[in-house]
Amino acid sequence: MVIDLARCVGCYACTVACKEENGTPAGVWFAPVYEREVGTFPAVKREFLPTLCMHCEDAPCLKACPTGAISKRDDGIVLIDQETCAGTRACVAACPYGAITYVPAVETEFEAGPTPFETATAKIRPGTSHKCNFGAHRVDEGYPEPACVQACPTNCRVFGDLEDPHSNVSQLIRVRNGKQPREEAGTRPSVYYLR
Amino acid sequence: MSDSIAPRAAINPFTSGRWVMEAKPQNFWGRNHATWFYAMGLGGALFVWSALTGRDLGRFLGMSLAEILSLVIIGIGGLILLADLGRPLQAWRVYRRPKTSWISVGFIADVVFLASAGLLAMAELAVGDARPFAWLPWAGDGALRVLLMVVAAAAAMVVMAYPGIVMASSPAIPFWNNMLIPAQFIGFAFASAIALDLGLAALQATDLTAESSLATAGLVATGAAGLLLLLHVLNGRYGGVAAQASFRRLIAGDLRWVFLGALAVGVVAPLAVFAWLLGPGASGLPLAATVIVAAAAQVGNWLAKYAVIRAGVYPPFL
Repeated sequence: MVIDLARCVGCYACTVACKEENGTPAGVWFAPVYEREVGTFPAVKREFLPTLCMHCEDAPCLKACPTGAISKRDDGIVLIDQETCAGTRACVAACPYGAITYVPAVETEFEAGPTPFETATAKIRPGTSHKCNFGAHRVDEGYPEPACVQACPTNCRVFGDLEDPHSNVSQLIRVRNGKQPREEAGTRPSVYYLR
Repeated sequence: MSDSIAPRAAINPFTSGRWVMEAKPQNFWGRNHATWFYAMGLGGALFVWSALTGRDLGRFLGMSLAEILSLVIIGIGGLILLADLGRPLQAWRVYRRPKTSWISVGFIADVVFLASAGLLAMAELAVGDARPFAWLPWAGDGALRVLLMVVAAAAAMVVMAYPGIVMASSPAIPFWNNMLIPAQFIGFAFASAIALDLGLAALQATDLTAESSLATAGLVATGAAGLLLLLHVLNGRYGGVAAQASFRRLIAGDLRWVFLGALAVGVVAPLAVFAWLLGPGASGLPLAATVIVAAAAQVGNWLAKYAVIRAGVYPPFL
C-alpha cells in the first residue's frame, strides 16, 4: 500500500470504514489517523498521518509470537489467528508501529449495552491481540481493495502489488520516492508513505 | 500512570480528542510482568548459586531448601504468567516458536527446570526416617544425579536470562532494545539470591563473621546489578526521542520514586550490609537489620524490573 500524505485531509473515512468492516469493539481501531500541528502562528498547518499494520516483510510480531498465532500469507498479508492466540502481548511489545491492540475485554461504545450492529459485527475474541488484516477477507472475495482504501475520498491510500514493477503502487514509490516508516527498525514494511 | 490495560482509555477521535503523533508510553506490561520476571530471576539464581558454590541453605523434609525454593518461586512465576495471559487455556501452545521467540525458549526452559529439579528434590525426600524415593537411580551421588544437576542448572540459567532477552529483542521500544537489560536482570537475580541466602543464614543463627565469601559475592553481584541498571538508564539519555523520554520518566518523571527506591533498597542498603560484614564490626550487625535488608533486596529487585518495564516508550510513528 502507498499512502500519499499530501492528499490526506484528515476526514477519518478510512478509520470509520475499517471499524465498520471489521466490527471492532470500543477503543479498538485498526486504522487510526494521527495528527500534528507544525509551524508557528500565523504559518500553522495541521498534518495528518493515516496508519495501519505495515504487514512487514520481516515482521517482528511474527517472530515474537510464541504460539504461532501470527502467520504470513503468500501475498504478504500478516494475520493473527484468534483461536491460537494466548494473549501474551509479545507481538504488541515487538511491533515498532504500535499497530497491534490487545483486547482484554470486548466493550461497547454505548452505556445502554451493545447495539444490534455491534452484536452482529463482533468478531473479536477477548484476551487476544488484533490488528489490521489488509482487508484479507475482501481480497479473497475478489474485491480490488480494502475498505479503508475504498472509502478514501482523496485517493490518499493506494492498494496494489509491490512485487509487480508496473503496478500503480510500484510506480508511485519510484516516481515520488516513497519511504517506509521507521526504516531503522529493519522490518521492511509493505506500506510506503509519499510526502 | 495507570497500570491497567483498558481499551476504554484509548482515544476515540470522535468523542475524546485526537491521536497525536508523539512518543507514547507502553501500557501493556506492568506489575504482573515485573513479578513474573522477578520470580524467574530469583528462582533460577538460587538454584545456580547453590549448585555452583555447594552452599546448603537448609533442609526441608530432607530436600535441599535451595532446590525447593527455586521450584516454588519459578512455579509461582509460571502461574503469574498464566494468570496474566489473555487466554490461559491456550498457554500450552507457547512452546511453538523456539527459533524466533524467547518466550517459547523460556517456557521450554521452565518446563525442563521444573522437571529436572523436581526429580532431584524428589529423590532426597525424607519423611521421618523413611526415604520413599531412595531407590531412584539418581538418588545417590552417581553420574545420573550429576547429569540432572547440569541440565537443571543450564535450564535455570536460561530461566534467569530470558525475561530480559524478551525485552531486549523488541525493536519497537528503544529503551528496552538493549542487552544491558538481561545483564542487569541476571545481576539482580544473583544479588537477590545471595541476600536471601544471607537472611536465611542469619535466621539459622549462623555466625555471619565467618561468611566473608558470601558477603564478597553479594557485594560483587549487587554492585554489578546497580552499575548495569545505572548504565542502562544513562544510556537512554543519549538515545532517540523515545529513549530520552524513558530516561526523563525515570529520573524526574512519574517513575522517579520507583527508580530511586530500586536503587536505595535494592542496591545501596544491601551493599552497606555486605560491606559491613567484610569490615571489623561484622559481629555487631543486628539480626533484624540483616533480615530486613535481605527482604529489601527482594523489593529493590522487583522495583528495578517494574521501573524498566514501565519506562518503555514507543517513538513517534514518523
